[in-house]
Amino acid sequence: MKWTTFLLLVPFLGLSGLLIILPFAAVVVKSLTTINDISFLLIKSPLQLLSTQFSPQNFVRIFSDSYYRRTLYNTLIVATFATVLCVGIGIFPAYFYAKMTKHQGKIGIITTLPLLAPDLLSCFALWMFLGADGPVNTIFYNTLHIFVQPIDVIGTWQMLVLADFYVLGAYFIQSLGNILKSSDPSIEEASLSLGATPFQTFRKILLPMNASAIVILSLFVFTRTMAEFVTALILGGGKTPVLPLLVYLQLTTYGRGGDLCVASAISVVLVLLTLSTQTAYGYIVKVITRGRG
Amino acid sequence: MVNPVEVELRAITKRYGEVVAADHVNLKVKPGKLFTLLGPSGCGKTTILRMIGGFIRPDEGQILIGGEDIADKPPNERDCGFVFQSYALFPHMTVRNNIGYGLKLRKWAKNDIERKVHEVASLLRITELRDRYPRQLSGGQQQRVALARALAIEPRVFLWDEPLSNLDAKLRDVLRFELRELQVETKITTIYVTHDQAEALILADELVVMNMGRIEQIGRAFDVYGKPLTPFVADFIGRSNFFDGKILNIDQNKDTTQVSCGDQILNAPISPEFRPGDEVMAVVRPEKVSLFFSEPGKDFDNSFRGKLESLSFLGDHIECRAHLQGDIHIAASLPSGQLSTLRVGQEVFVAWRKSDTSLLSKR
Repeated sequence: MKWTTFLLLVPFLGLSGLLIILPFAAVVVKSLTTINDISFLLIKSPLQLLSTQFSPQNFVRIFSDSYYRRTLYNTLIVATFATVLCVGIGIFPAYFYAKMTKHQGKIGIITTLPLLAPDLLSCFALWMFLGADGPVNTIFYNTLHIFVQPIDVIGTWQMLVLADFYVLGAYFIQSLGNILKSSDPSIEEASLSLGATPFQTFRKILLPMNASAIVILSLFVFTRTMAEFVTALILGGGKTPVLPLLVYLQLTTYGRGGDLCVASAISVVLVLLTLSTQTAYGYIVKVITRGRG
Repeated sequence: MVNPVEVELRAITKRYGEVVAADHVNLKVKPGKLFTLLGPSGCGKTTILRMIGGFIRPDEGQILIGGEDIADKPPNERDCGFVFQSYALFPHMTVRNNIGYGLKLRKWAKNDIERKVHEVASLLRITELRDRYPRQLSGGQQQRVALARALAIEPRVFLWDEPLSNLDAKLRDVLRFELRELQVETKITTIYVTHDQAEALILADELVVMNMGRIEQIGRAFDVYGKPLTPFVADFIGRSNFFDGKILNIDQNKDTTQVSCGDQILNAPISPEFRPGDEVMAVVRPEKVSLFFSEPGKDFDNSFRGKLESLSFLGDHIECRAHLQGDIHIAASLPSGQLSTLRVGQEVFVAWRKSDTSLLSKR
């Protein structure tokens, strides 16, 4: 490749360096210090850096403090359950979206609805709908007396899972549906001609054939959920903190107790979790596709 | 092996809006025979195959396999071994598991599956490939695996949808004969769809020529080629010379029909459906036309003076065109050994026997 071709990469590399790599490097540096100010240590105080004592105390605090440990635990639990829900429930509408060409438009609209509104609006709508004075409690508890007591899901980890599923499930369904749509229909027909029922074909052929795509999509859901803080902010009710929310709180209370070094350390932990998950998923995909390309 | 069964289509019709993909098609495929459905793209041959396989539901008509109406049966209950143009191998399964898939569905014992897989793999000469994945196979190997997979379930009927069309010409030539041997050995009633007439002529016990959703002609390859019944069949199968004309005279004593084609008069055998004055199309195959440098003998009922206007050497034969009086052009296929004696512009006599002339209705 000619060196002039590499010039085309310069804008992208420049922006990446400026907006991703450098800022993140600064966050990593800050996470290893106790300099709780907003100085960009790598540039503003390079000389100060030389004399700074780096220590892992922010990370020790995160893993030793019971509050931070519970927050880490919440983050992983919510991400895991939201992913399981997306994959377990989302696979079937994805299949129907791909195969029912007659009703594809209608299925597409229903599965796309959550994507039309911003996450904030979706969470706000859920908060109103399932809240203490929302229509669910008003109808089933106050009016019909079907519920023995009002449902109180706001603030629970289950609510966060539901909200994340609502937002990310639509993406999962649409993406997997498009992948299934593009697969060779004669492979399914071959399965049917050999004696398989449609459900057997789905279970023995379609799912395994697209296993790597399902795994990759679930990875996306998992990592997105781990980084999701809008749902936790609106629906967590302060009772179910997650790591991204803690970062947000540390940043917004800077000067009033918020610790930017701890926020930086939490961010680094989140990134490491994401990288570990991606590595694990990569290994799983490799095992699934071994030999078959 | 299974007992051969008959496949019958009764007035099968399929419409897609204004387009009629199959138009009241009637067909009987004899037990143990290989019928090829031949025709241009869009003629309905694959539609018919897929209706037999259960992937498309006909709008009208019946499909019977072994005398049983299967119209309401889903594909997985029709016991048809379908081989797809794209092979449709399961990419996440080895060759062994691809072949054994149908047997596993039928809850065969593991040992029996392994034995059967080995048996069909040996027949298709792919035993050494059993632990490979489809991606690791060549096109020809994939095709053999697809055949083995369909054969393993011991179907009542084979449905082959242009199985060789994705292969290179040389490999197609080899596999054609293998397919034919396989079908003859297993005696499974087979319907083979192709647009390649050479393939159809080589493989078929009987040929079904289709056009625009209708069957134009059914018969043995030799008969369809030698005696096309419609202009479409004459044009689609092989190459033909066409002459528009009118019946002048029918001589029962000489078994001759005289046809006026412009300034020329052709001699053809008597066809009972024609009368003097009927508009007809006379057809003669280029390989039935001979060239002479002087008036040919009485063996040739049709003889016309003309001039050679083009010569093409094609390896094993020569294609030439002659311009006759009355602005008639005729193509001839000659042995390549004659090339040295021919020149463009040469005066020649073009001749053929009346028995090699077919008369077709223009209606």
